[in-house]
Parts: sequence; C-alpha cells; structure tokens
Amino acid sequence: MKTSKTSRSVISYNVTFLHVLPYVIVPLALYLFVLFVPLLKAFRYSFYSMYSYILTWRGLGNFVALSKDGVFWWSLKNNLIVMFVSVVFQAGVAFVLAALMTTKLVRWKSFVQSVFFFPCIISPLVTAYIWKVLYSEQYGVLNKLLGAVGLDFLQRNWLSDPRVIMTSICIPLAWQYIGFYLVIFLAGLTGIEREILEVAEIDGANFVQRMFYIVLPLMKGTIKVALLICVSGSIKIFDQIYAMSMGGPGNASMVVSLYAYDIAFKGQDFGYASAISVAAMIISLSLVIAVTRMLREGE
Amino acid sequence: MKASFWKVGFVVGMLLVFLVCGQAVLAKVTITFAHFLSEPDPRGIYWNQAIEEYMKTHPDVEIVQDITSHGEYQHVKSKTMLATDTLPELFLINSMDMRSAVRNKRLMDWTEIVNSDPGWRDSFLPGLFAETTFGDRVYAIPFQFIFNEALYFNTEIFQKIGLEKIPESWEDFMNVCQKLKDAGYIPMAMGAKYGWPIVSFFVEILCEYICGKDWVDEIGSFTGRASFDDPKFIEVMKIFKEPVDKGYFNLDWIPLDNPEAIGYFYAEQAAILPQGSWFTGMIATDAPDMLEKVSVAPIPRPNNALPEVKYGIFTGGSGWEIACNTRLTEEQKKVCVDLVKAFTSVEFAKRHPSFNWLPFAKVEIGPDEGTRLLREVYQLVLAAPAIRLMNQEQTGPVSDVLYKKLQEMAVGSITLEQAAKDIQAVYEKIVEAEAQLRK
Repeated sequence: MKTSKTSRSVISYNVTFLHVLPYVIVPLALYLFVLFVPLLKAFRYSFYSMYSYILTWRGLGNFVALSKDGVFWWSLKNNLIVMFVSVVFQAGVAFVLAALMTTKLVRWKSFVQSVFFFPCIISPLVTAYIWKVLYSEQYGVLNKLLGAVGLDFLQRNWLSDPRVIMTSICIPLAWQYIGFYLVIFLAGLTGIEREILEVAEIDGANFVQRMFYIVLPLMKGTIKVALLICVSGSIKIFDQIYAMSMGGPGNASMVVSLYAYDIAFKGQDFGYASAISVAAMIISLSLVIAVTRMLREGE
Repeated sequence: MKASFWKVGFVVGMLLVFLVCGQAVLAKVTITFAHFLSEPDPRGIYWNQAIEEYMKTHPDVEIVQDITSHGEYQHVKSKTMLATDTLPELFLINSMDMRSAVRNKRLMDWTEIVNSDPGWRDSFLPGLFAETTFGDRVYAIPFQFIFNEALYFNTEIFQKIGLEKIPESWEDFMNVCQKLKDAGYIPMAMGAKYGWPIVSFFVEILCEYICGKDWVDEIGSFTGRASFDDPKFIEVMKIFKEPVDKGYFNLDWIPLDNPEAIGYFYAEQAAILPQGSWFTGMIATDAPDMLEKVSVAPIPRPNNALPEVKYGIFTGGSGWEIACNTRLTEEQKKVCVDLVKAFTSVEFAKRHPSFNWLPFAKVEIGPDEGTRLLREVYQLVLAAPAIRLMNQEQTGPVSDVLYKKLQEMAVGSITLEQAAKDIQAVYEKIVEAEAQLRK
C-alpha cells in the first residue's frame, strides 16, 4: 500500500516536473546568459591589459594599479557622497514625508504623493538636461533667481566649479527619487495596523514617540529594502553625471562606473576598465552585505 | 495512417520551402555597412541613394546600413567593434584608430585595388592618403577633407561695434574679444564638455605655431624625443588660458557640448564661433538665414610663434575613412570596392559644393558654386601657407588625459606646469608601450 502510494506520487511528480522543466530552463538559461556570462567575461578581462586593442596577461597587476589609482579613489569618494545624499535626502526625507502623510497635517494626500512621484517617471537623462539648463552660468534661472532676491553672493559656476560640482549633481538626484522612496515607505506604512497607532495615541504617545517606538521597528523590512536600493544605486550611478558634467571638469565629478566607461572607450583599455567594474561590484556587494548585517543586528 | 501521411507530407513540404528560400537567401551577397552619415547630412542622403541604386542594378546583393549617431559611433560602437573584432564588411574608421587596427590585422589591404585604378587614386587631394598608409600599404579610403580650426564670426555684430574682421595677431584678437565683451556679447561660443574642442580648435594649431612641426611630429611618433612638459607646450596652454581667464567664452563652456555652444552663435548671442570646416555644411542646413552674415578667418598667430610658421595655417586631413574587414569573400569584396568607388568618385566630389562641403577630390569650386561662406573657406585653404596633417596619431589614453587636464588647467584646479606633468606621465607610459610593440 505504502509502495503504491509512493510510486503514484513519483509518477505525479515526474509528470509535473517535466511539464515545468522548459519553463524553468529557458528563464534560467537567459538569466545565466545575461548576468553571469558578462560577469565572468569582465572578471576574466580584469586580469588583462589592453593597449592598441592587444590583450596582454597582467595577472593581479590591474588591481595593484587600481589600489594606487588616485582617480579611482576620488571617484569612489564621489560615489560615497552620492550614497550619503541618497540615504539622507532621498530615503530620509521620503520617510519623514511618508510619516507626515499618515497624520492629519497633510491634506490632498494623493495629490502630494503624485507631485513627489512625478520626477521619478522622467528619464534621468531628461532630468539632467533640465537641471543643466537651470544651472547654466550664462542664462540659467538659478543664478538669475539668486540675483533677483539679493543673494548674489550665492551665485556660482554650478557645473564648472570643482568645489561645488558634486553639490550641483546631488540636488537633482535627491529631487528625482524622493517620490520613489515615498511610495515604498507609504506601502510599508499601510502594512501597520491603524489600531496599534491609535492605541499608542490614546496611551499618550506623541508623533515622534509613535515613529520611533512603533513605526520604525515595524517597518524595518521596508527600510532595509529602501537602503539596499539606495546603496546599490549609488555605486552604479552613471547617466545623470554623464549628461550633466561627463565627470568633469577634469575628474571633479567622476564616479566609478563613468571612470570604467572612460577607461574602456576613451582610454581603450577594456582590461583595466573590467578591473574597475569588478572592484565596483565587490564594493557594492560589501556595502549591501554590511547594511543587511547592520540591520539584522538591530533586530 | 492517413493522418500520418499528411503529417509527413507537410513536414517534407515545409523543409522544401525552407530549403528553396534558404538557397535564395544564401545566394545573396550580403554587406553590412556601419556608419554615421544619415539625414540631414547630404552626403548620407547621397550614399543612401547610391546604395539603393546599386541594389536595384544588382538584385543578388543586399546592403544593410547600420547607422548610429556620430558621437555614439565614435566613442562606443567603433571602439567596441575594433576591440572585439566584430567589424562588419564595410565601416567607417577614425584616423586615430587606424594604426591599432592595422597592427591587429583588422583591415583589408587596398593597395592593389588603389594602384590598379590610377585615375581614381590620383583624383584625391594630395596627402589625403597619408592617414591610411602604413609602410607602403593602403588600408582605408578617405572620403572627406576637413580642417579643424577656423573662427566663424557674425559680420553684423562686428559692424555694429565698429569691428571689421578677425585680426591676424593673437594679441589684437584678444582686444577684439574685449570689445565684444564690453558690448554685451559672448565673444566666443565654446562647448568643451567632451574635451576635444579645446584640443581641436585651439591647442593643436597653437602647437603648430609655438612648438613647431618637428615637435608635433615627434609627439605623434612616440619616439620619446618630445615631451608635453616642454616649456613650449606650457606656453601653448598659457595662450589658450588667456581668453578663458578674461571671460571671452560663454560662462558655461565647460559643461556644454559643442552643438549646444553652436546654439549661442545661431541665436546671435555669441559673435565668434571656433569650429572646423564642416561648419559650412552645418550652418547651411541648420541656419540658412544666417549664412549672409557669417564670415570666416584662420586662428590668429601669436606674437611669439616660430618665425617660420606663417599666419593662416591649418591642420587638416580626412579624419574618417572607409574600410573593410579581412574576412570578405571575393563577391563581397567586389561589392565593397564598387560602393567605395561610388562614395569617393569625382562626380560625387563635384556635388560637394552644392552640399556646402569642401570636396575631397581635386575639384575646383566655381564663383557661383555653394554658399559665399564655403567659397571663403575654400579660398582660405588655397591661400594657406601650409596644411599640416591632423595629429591623428594620439592614442586614446593621451587624448583622454589631454582633454581632462586642459579642462582642469582652464578652471584653475591645477597649474599649467602640473597639467603638463600629468599629461607627460601618461604619455611616457604610451611611449613605453609603443616601444615594446615595436620590438
């Protein structure tokens, strides 16, 4: 009796598995092809240098050179600035806004949400060009506006001055993605039962206390997701900077992915560019793991 | 049984259809042509017509055009195709990539084809094959003649403030810029986001004036006998920095790209536009109404230029060439040769003045041909004491560091000496790499 049950279940399992197999194999093969093949190739090329389109085995030479490459570290520093801005001014501000939207302080919530979300639907390249026009030192609105309200001393060469270029790039970044995190946090907030907050309010907990002792702990999963997107997105940032400054003036606003692009297509060294990309991937993974562990430790 | 018969019949039938169709497809000679000349560039329109006509008269030939924007083609597509050896049958190659491509045996040898048709070979402007000839072998065919640097100026604005033309000396030119600035105009429109305009419009020609031909040739040959930390090159940077420091460019010249800067000239906010010979074609398409008020002059000569280098020189050449990969079948080779000859025929060169482009062949531009601006440009070329070959030998890493360090020097984040030192450091590595390859 037992045997027959087993054989029936095996037959049934086999049939199901065979049916499912093509649906598993095709996406899996596609996934492996688009993700692992380029990754493995980049990893392989990172041990070569290329000059005049000739590949030469370099072993760990690229990574040794990378450790001494001032432009790489400068680019990484810029990535970390972007990460800080993303965490504080995108996710942080979005969290505060989401929290405020649970109170009666904010009216027309759907409208406010749409206003904040609108920049997210614009292509980053378009955003970059819009801000480039605003920043224009020649005819830009920003300097004109500052002059009109008597803040002439704040007028700057926003995209030509190496001292302010990263600030100029980070402002549109924060502006564009607040809405994205706002939507994530609002989705997280809807998962918290209203009764809990109402009971806390009846018990005398104020807004800040409710945020710190109820909302934050209950939204840990959502916050984790938001932070992971922030961190990984900051390391791979490319398009906005490409459109706004091309990493310039000089290397003032260079970031790691743009540096890899520059080395590959302008410097024509696909080997060293691959080493930069592999290093960026390792750094990004390390940061993601660190953030995950940090949040896990807090649980 | 009956059903099986029909099933087998259907499969066999389908196989036959595929076989016949496949044969038909296989019998066709297919050529992929990767380039960046599309509408509204009149040369692209002509090429397209030539391709269509060729396919009509040769039904067994299929030519697929793989057209990308100029920037994308130059910076990404051509580099990737060269690096990965995925070059199509026919493609455009930048002169800067010629040496590497030849070294890697990626280009078909055209020597016999060129020499077997002396009429066609000799129709090109003298020296145009210099960028495509290595040793005594020809690896690509030039299809244009351009020079990099000229100053286009708005005569109406000049007249308004009592100026006549761009002076011959750099010092007088700076005074003209000051007058334009005082009158509320942007003296010169410039967009250096991608770095190359600094080098192509100013530094390259200033090197000819200040450092001289020998220095330029040595730098381009990577012999190690000339260097970028030479005081003469520092002097070049100093001369270029003068208009930057005096505010003679649009304030946003660093983050702006070249087409955006041209916009200031078209909007008549800028009085002068540094640009290459290709601008004659561009303005005729983009802003034909402006043509009547635009004139042109060479880059002024600095007072401390070498005495033997006279005012009015240009750096010119083909810049881009047409090439084939090395895997062509005889049929494909024949099609490619036919097409390249059509694209570079004297008949086509004769049509260039109507496109407002300088012709690549020995074709005269008559007094009624093309626009006045084109004829002025043509006269400058005829009157030039010398047309130096563009310094196309610079490799990617050297160009890249030149662009970046000149930007940094211009915004004052590094000194002239530091910029020269940084450029030289990269250049020395390339000299070393070239020496290794020569061994």
